[in-house]
Amino acid sequence: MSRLNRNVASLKAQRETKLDQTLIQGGLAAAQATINKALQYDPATQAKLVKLGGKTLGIHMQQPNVSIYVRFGDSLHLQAHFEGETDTDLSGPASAFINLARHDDKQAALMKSDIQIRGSSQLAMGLADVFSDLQIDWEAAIAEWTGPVAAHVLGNNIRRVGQWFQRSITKVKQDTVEFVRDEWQASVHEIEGEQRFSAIQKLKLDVERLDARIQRIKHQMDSRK
Amino acid sequence: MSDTPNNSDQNTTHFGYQTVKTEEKQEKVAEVFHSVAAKYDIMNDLMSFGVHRLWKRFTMEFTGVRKGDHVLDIAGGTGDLTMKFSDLVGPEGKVVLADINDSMLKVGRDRLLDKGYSGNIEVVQANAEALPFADNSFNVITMAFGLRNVTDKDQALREFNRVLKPGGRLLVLEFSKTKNPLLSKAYDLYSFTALPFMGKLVTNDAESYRYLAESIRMHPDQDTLKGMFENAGFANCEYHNLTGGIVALHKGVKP
Repeated sequence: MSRLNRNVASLKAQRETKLDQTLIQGGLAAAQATINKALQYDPATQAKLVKLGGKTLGIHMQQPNVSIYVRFGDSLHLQAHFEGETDTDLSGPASAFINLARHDDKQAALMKSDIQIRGSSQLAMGLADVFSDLQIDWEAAIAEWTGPVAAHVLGNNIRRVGQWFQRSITKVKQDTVEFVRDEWQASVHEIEGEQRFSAIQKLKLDVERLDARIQRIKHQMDSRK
Repeated sequence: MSDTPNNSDQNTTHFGYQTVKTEEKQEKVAEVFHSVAAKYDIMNDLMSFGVHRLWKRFTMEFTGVRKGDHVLDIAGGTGDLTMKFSDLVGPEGKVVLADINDSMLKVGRDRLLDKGYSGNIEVVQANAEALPFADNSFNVITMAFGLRNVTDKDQALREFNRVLKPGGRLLVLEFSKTKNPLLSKAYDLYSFTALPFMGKLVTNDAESYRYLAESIRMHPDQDTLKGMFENAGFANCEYHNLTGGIVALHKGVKP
């Protein structure tokens, strides 16, 4: 085997080297504990998940290739391997799953995404609906450490800071759009853009109608011959 | 019959690095576990830095246990896996916690009761080489960190095959051999210096933990044990290395 081929084979082997199962189990155990702890602060969501007891969901991500199995019961159980048939499998690129996690309306996001559903779509949609309504009572979690009064004060301050960040990010986005449009003149106004795109769409339809008319005339002339 | 090394004239086997008469090994192993039983769980956590829980978690993923199943946790000792099985099989199922050592069984039984586990669990003192169960009794058999202490491993594997139902699976979690030379050196240093020291500190019994380290070195490697599974009549035999091969999970299915 040439030196180049040996180097390529070695690089491939490194890329394909699997993570030790001990590390994977450690990650899953930590994630499971965190999720179950968080769910304790949203009893309504937890109750809905308990109703799914006995069902198993397989999540198969590509790029990177990772499979996680979620067993539903009194609590969620995450596994790297599952013996038996899952009720539902979701497959797709990791980016699609991340996008799904970020969307508020998870049902709509799941339907529009590149994620393929195998098995019971009812389970997948049901879960998307459950997690869309997830409302974790963070104050209750903090209150376990600080007491209810301090947790409430802390919670208010965190909410205030969070709202300030939200407003700031929205303002920065707006200011950037205006700067690019009005100062740099590197883009057009949204209304102008929409008008231009409408005109292009109308032109496209007109061209298609003209093409259809030409084809009809051509057909008529060919049939007379 | 006993596993290697074996002098057929004198009928001897290994007890750690020592060579002893075959009929004496069981007694010597029993002495070790009578000594360590009370602090077994603490020592497991200390010696493995809690990682043994992850190894057992991985094992559970391969059991495929469902509600109503019958499970045998042999050499189950203090009941780590038994507790998990009890939750999975439900009231319609059954879990048998079996161990040859009554001190370990007492600790295990008390621990289970303290945590509220009882209804679907049966505690049995049993020798893996001669199981007191009918043929085709169990859906799953697990043995975690027990096989290396068995005198006649081939006989034990045959017994597991006998009491499993067709299609049932055997899972053996045990210390094994790492192929990584750096990890191997670090592991040897840790095993032969740190473990006896911890044993002396916590249980005042360095010798038992020296036996632990030695018995690991005398246990068959991954491929040899896989061959033993096949010789005992198991199909679809495979193994999975954990923590660089320091521990391995072997699986076989009764055809």
